Order: sequence, then C-alpha cells, then structure tokens
Amino acid sequence: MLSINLIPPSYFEQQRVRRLLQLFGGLLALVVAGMLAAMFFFITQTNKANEELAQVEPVAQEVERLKSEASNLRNEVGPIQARIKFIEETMDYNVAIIPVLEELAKYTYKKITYGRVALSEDRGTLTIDGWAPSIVDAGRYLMNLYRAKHLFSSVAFSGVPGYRTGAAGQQGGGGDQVSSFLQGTQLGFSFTATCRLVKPLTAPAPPGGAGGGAAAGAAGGAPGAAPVPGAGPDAYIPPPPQQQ
Amino acid sequence: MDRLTRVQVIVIGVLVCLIVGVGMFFLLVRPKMQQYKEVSAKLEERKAVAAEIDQARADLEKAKLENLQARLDYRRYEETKMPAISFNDRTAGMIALWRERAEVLGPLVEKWPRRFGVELRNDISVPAAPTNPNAMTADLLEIPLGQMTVTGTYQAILNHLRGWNKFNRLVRVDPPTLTGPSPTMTATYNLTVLIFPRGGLGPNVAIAGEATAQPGAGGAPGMMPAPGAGVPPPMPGGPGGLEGPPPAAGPGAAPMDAPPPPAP
Repeated sequence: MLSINLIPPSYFEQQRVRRLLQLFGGLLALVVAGMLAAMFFFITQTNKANEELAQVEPVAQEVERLKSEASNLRNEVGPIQARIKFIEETMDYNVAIIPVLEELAKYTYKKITYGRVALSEDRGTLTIDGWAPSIVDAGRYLMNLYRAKHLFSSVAFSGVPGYRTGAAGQQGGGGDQVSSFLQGTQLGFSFTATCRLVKPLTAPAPPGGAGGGAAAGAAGGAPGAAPVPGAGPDAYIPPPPQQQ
Repeated sequence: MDRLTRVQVIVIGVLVCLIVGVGMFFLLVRPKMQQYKEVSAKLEERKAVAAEIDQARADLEKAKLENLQARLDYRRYEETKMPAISFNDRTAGMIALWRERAEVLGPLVEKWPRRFGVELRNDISVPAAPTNPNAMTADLLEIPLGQMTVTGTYQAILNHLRGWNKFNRLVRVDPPTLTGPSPTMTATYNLTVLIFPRGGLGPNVAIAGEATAQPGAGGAPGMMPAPGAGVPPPMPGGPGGLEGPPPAAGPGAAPMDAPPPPAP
C-alpha cells in the first residue's frame, strides 16, 4: 500500500519555525529570569552584609578608638622616654671604662708597672705607657694582651730594644733608657702598648639632637631674638678629652 | 514571520538571547555584584578590626602602664638628679640657673670626691650663667666643669668614678687618664653637668632695648618680676613635666626664692 503525503513541505517548515520561535522565546524568558534572580540574589546578600556591617562597625570603631588612645599615650610619653634613655645611657657611659680597666688589670703580668693609661680622643684606643723589668717579662705581658681578644681587637707594642738599635724608634728619654739598659746600668725598659678596643666607648647623644647647642645665650645673643630651637643658652658641647 | 527560515530564526534567536542576557548582566547584575563585593570586603575588613578588641584593650592597658612607668621613672630621675629649674617663667628660671651655677654646683662637686677616699687636686670653676632670659631653652643644659684631677689608690679611683652615678646631679664623666703607679695614682677626666629644665618654655620677657616682645610676654618693657617669685612648677604634660608639685631639689640645692632681679 503506497501512502502519499500531499501536504506541501512549506507547511511543515512553518511548523518548525513556530516551534523554534517558541523555543527561543522560552530561552529568552529563562535568560531574563536568571538575570533578575541573580540581581535579587546580590541585592539580598548586600543587604545582609550591610546589616552585619552595622553590627560590626561600632565594635571596629571602638577598637580604633582604643588603638588611637594607646598611640596617643605612647606619643605623649615619647620625649620622656627619650630623656630617660639619655640619662641611663649617660650613667652607663660614666662607668663604661671601669670594666675595661678591671679586665686590663687581670691581663697584666705582675712584674709590669704602668705609668699612664689613657683612652684616645675617639675613645676607641687604649694607650698604655709602662715599664717592664726584662724582655721576657715584656714578652709575657704582650702575650697576655694578645689573649685578651674579648677586650682588644688589635694590640701594638713598641719600646722593645734591639742590639745597639734600641734607641731607634724611641723618642725623648726612651733612647737613653734603652741605652742604659743595654749597658747594664739600668734594669728594664719603658714600653707603649696601643690597644684598640673591641667596643669603643661612645658618648650618648642628647635627645632631640644636639641638646643645648652653642653658648650663644651667655652672650645674650641679639636683643629680642627668639631662642633658636636646640641652641641652648649655656649648652656647650665640650671638646674630647685632651691627651696628656 | 512566515517568510523566516529555520536558520534565520535560530540566528536571530541566539543573538537576541545573547544580547538580552549580556545586556541585563551588565546593566542589572554586575553593578549589584560589585556593590556586594565592596560591602563584603568592607565587612571582612571591619570584622578583622573588630576581632582585635581584646588585643586593643590589652594594648591600651599596656600603654597606660608604660606611660605611668615612664613618668615615674623620669620623676625619680628629676627628684634625684635635676635641680628645680623651669623656664615656664624665664626670669625666675634664669635666676635659679644662676644660683645653681654660682652657689650650688661648685661646692657639691668639690665635696663629692672625698666620699670615695680620693683627693681633688684642682679648683672647680663653673662657667657663668647666661643673662638673657629670652635666650633660655627647655632643652638639655650642658655645664662643662672642665678637667678634674683626683689622686688616690686604683680602687678608690674606680669607686670614685662609679660614684658619680650617685651624685645628685646628672653628670657625664669622660673616660679618665690614669697616671702614676698605685697607691698614688692620678686620674684626670672631663666632667659635664647635664640638666633638663622642668616644664616648657614660657613667653619671652620684655627687655629694655629690645624692639618688641612677644604677645603676653609679661607686661610693659622693663617690668620686673614680682619679688619673691619662685620657680614655677613644671608644666603638666609638658616635656619633662609631671603632674603634682615640683620635686624637691637635691641636697644642696638652693632655695628657689628669687632675689631681686637685676635692674633692666
């Protein structure tokens, strides 16, 4: 049995187009609905976050206030702490040489006699003028100084006599002394040990810079002139100690 | 509509869906999404800040303690090592400084070495104080006393050097030069007295011959300070100033009643 479809193909084409239109219409509605849903989702989430933020904000502000108060307290006391630090550092500086001298005494051979112990102007080098009864004693003393590595970073020693050359390199009375030593008329010889400190002493800096400043105030300065900050009336930065 | 083919419908449908979808995303969804992100980020940040509440409270307590401790420490040093000199009133402060330099400091320093069994071998001289109250400063005052020479045993000299930290003024002792064998050693060193004036710096004083005084500088030119005016108390809260009355000066400190001021 042969069946023949007499419906024109255009009829089916229109049906397919209609179905496609319905399909895309549905798809479009789905897209619109999805976008609207996403928008409302974010609106809802934003509102929730805002509500939560409103609860957290006072606490956060309180934290900031506490931090600010703590910071103000610390800033307020900063200058005082700087002064305390300066006072304490000055007091430490006053006695800083004492442990050095005490350690030096421990490392000094018993037959050595010191004539003068002085710190250099930069407070980093200890110069020791002394007297040794013999070359052997001086050697022992020098070996001791070399062992004091925690105290001195370098040690230089001068004054050891040679054979008829002892006066070379000596200045002033040292030459005569060595000559007499060589001639057997005098026992011992003078020496100078120059020791570089591992930790040079440093004078503390006044808080806020140079502290007082020059002694311009003593002279009165220009009449009516306002004081220069940091330049004290009588403040005076003393020169380093003079070596004798 | 009947003329449209399937292909055309598909192309147009896809394009319309895309355009509408993308358009709605950028016009409606994206702004809300960004708004949410911003609020969310801010919320996280504020939550993190808020979570520090206990730590912040503890830190504040610590800061208060540090503040109090520093003030107490400084007060202790003020009471034990600083004379009561304040330039809140410049004239009175200047006169107190004169007394400190002319009458107090020298005898104090001269007597001190004997406590440690060493002999002071030189005369103490204290440089004269400045005479212009407007040149005063609230910063550190350094008063160089020059070179000190003391004699004694090695141990006495070391004790003497240590002892300067117990002196009732803050001094800076430069490292000494030791000469001579013990027991008659000589130590030579530079001594500097350091003074922090109390409180801040008062207004300039009107001085005859000066062009102008600062506003509120203390009245008419040539005006004298009231007789008997003492050193004002430290400025509360100012650098070095602490609440409460000024601590008593150390032993030997001069009474701070100002003598009649010099004629202008």
